[in-house]
Amino acid sequence: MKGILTLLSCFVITMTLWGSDDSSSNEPTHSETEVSSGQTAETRDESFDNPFADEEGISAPEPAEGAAESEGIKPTDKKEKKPPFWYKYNFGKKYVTTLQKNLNIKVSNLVHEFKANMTFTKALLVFFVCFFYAILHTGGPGHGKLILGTYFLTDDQKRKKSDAAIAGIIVSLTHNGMAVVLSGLLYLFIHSFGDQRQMQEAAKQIGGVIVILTGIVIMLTTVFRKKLNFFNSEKAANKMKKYPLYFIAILSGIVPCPLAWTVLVLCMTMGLYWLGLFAVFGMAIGAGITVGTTGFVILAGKEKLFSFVNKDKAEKIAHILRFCGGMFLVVFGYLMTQVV
Amino acid sequence: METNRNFSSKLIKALFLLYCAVHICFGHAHVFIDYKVHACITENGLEGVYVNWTFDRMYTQFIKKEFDKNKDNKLSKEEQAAVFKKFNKDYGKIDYFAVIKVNGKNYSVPKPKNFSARLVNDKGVVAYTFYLPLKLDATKKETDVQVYFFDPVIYVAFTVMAKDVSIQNKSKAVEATISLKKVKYTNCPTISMKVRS
Repeated sequence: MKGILTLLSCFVITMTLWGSDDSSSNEPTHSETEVSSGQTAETRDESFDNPFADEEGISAPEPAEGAAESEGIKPTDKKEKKPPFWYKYNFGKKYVTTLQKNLNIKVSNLVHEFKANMTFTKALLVFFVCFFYAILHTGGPGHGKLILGTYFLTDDQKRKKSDAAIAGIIVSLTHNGMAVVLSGLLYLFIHSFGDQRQMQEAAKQIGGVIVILTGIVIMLTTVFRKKLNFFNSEKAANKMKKYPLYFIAILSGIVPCPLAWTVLVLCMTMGLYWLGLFAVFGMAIGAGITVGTTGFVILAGKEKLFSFVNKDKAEKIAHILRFCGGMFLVVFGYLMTQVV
Repeated sequence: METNRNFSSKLIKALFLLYCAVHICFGHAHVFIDYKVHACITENGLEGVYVNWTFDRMYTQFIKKEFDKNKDNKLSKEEQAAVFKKFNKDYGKIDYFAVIKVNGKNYSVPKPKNFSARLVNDKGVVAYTFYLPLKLDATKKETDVQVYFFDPVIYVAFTVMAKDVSIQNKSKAVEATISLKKVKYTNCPTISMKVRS
């Protein structure tokens, strides 16, 4: 465990330093006027030519909505675009965003290098960078952790730690596999990859509905548990132990991974189909580790929590926890569908 | 004593992991855009701002695949018109990710003009440039105008550096500066202007 943590820390530090030189490579090379920040009226330029592009740009043929264009901007009562409440308290976001940006640049650089010089070492490097990128990226919101985590927390079966690993693998394979299937289908049939953000928004809506349905199922099975009498035989109980978990894991990963999708598109547009699949496989393993670890931590925490109370109390707590978990999923799923 | 030390050590480890988890969890962008802002000042005040977005290399492939139909690694006028159409369709409803504040109050976002899109081939990135006509009069009191880009769902990460904000002032009557100020959750180019007394 210590070894893995050390390795991960080394990788994060290397990526931060390694990628930092390249972050400026995103700068375009077009001409710019020599005006600097803080310049005042005394040292002004005489024209308002576009400082970023030489050619004249395109303007919308239709007039702007309202009077905004002709009379200038006006105060508005429109709700301010705010990030989620926790965002302003997240002091490390700049670092994490920079790190992910560096990894993003590194992956695309490596893919371009591979295109120029196809060696197995370069392909392996793409695989490992994608693997670590996925570990880090999957830690962010989404990627099936919430549904799976809540399921583990509220599930009243005695589970082994290996269940978390299996669920993690199923989630990440479905999640990344869906990206492969979807991008493949789009590429084959409409020769386009569509708008990534828009599709992600649609996927979020679908994901929200899935989360709501999962929550409702958890709540209903908690309330009508005795009436449904699932566990009237040991065989049925064993079945109930496995299948809902697999089903929930597949549901958790049904929304395609946008990162895998992006990497795949990068490779596909360069004609590197096999490299794309290899990279996505690396990402699937990385994502599986993060999702599996989340499940593992929740199972371990739950076990520790229940070790403090007697069996009767534990059952009652599990019952309440299960219902509350279902309710939480319904609320969270609803919020997911409401995000712009 | 030994138990206390073990407990403290575990607590520190747990807190450290929690800290890492919290910080890892909340950085979740998929598209990275570096942007630049160039303010244009006239006798009346702030006429508008030129904006430049530079996309990351990965997302550039989406744009190339979608719009560079003849695969010449250039975006012709027709191809740029298609990009602009999609730009308006996709981002128009979310105000092009733009936030405009005048002295802390929210203002409407105008439709962009003079849009151009180009592939910067040696860097392998695509850049969009457009003009936001603001037409905001300067007064004797100092007016602070903030123009920044932000994606509330954090799907797109916008970055701006101090060197990426600039100003052109054609007026002798208006005094204006531009700088990068920090708001609650992002850096934001701020234009301060007032009529010279």
